[in-house]
Amino acid sequence: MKNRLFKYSLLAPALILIAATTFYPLMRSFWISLHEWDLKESTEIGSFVGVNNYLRAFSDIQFWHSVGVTFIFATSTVLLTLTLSIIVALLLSKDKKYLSYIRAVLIIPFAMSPALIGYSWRFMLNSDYGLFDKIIGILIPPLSDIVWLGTSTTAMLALISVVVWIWLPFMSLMFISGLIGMPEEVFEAAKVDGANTLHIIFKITLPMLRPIILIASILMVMFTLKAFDPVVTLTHGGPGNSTEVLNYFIYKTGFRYFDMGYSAALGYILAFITIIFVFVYMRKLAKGDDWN
Amino acid sequence: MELLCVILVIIFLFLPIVWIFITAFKPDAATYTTSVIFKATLDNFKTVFGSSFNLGKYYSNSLIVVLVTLLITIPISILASYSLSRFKMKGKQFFMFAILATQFIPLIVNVIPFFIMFREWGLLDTTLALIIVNLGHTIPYAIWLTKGFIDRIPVDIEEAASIDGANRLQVLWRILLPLAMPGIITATVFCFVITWNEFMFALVLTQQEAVTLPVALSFFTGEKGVMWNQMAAAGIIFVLPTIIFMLLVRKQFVLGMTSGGVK
Repeated sequence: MKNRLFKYSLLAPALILIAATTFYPLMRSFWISLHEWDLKESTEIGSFVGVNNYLRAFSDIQFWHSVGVTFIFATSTVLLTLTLSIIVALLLSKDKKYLSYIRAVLIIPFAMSPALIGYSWRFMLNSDYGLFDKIIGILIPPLSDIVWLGTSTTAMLALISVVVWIWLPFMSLMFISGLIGMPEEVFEAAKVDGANTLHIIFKITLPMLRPIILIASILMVMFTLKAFDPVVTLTHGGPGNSTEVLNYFIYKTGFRYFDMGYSAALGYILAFITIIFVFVYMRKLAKGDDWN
Repeated sequence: MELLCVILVIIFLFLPIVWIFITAFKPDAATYTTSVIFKATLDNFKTVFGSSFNLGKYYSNSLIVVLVTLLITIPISILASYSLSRFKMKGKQFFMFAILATQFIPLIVNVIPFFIMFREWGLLDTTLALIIVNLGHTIPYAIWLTKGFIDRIPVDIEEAASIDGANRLQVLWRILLPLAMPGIITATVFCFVITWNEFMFALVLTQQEAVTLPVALSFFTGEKGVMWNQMAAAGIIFVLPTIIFMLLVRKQFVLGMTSGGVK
């Protein structure tokens, strides 16, 4: 009896706080999603419309547009970040003195605030005085006149690159910690058997990294579907609405148009998409017929 | 060839940071050029703390939000994860899954009801509002991270101590806490970073009084045009604590994230 009281009294403060700061607002938000509510017109919740707000999304061109934007943004960002961070990890995980210094400072870019990064890249991509614009102009002269944040395609490219830039160092560190923990003998045995580098990477290294690749991809999917700061600070969803990911579209519906019911419903739709995505992905990867 | 690739990676990752750093010391005239030859100045740092930008105020807002959030999050999460790790409970699996699942839900969903509640209670534009919403985000993460570490500490150690006459709380305080320290530090740093960099809540829930640093950055893109050199100066002051923290606990942090996910 005493034991029971003890274990629950340790848990109680956390339970109460999580309930108050997460579950209660979630319930309330769900309730709002079932109502019509234009906050500009009334501070009182409007009439009950059931699942109308959810159905409304299906015939909303803006919604489908931002689903498309989110899909392009999320898949490219996740795939690029994972591929590049594995390559970077392979490059930096070797047992050399100077590489250990580089590994030590790799966390610095990740520690930067995404908001600051977004604004800074906007500065650096500026076509009049931006550093990256200048560098690209020198390396590939035909690209020198591009207003990077001015056209749909290039703005999307910029957004993807910036988010990849934000996550690359941390993801690389995760893979490096996995690679460093691997037994050296396996690789030596493979070399003795005459396997070449590519062979070793695809047949030994990648399969051994599987658990970390799985976690990294789930984390990346979650993070990219929730991406907000870089979108606001780098492109503001623009030009037009070409980089308007779902999360930003929800924000705009709620806090620009004050369409609270619809915005809440859209939030739940995004949550649903995320959970489905992660679930399907986990099952597929856990079965493991994707590589070998 | 390999060295060249390493150098390219380093340039890609660090050039933007170096450029922010350089820009922070540029006088106005040199800001909108790619020149690296200029007379370095500390004026930007002086300006951002001056009355027109008031960075000091935003800084103290950010500090208050982070410190109070951590002071509540960490002890409460340690107790909860100890309880979850050591005792059998009905519905424990479900609870752990539920708090993880909440992280799949976009935070914007919770911002809507919070915005409405805070409006009713007159809490909009206060640091208290930000602390409340941040707790909903930090506590689940902190529980997941510290529980993973406590799970790995053998129970025998605690039993030995309690045979020697220590009571439960003494065991927790004297034995378990030191052993779980890497996990606790990881959780603290992680919660520090998400709270310190938190942007969306601050954007929606604050306007003037309680504005924190990430949102304050947007004030440099105001009516007078964009003042990149001053923003860069403010940005450096803003990210410095995170960078120092991250460098101190780099190893535990990555380990914590990797193993926390595996569990």
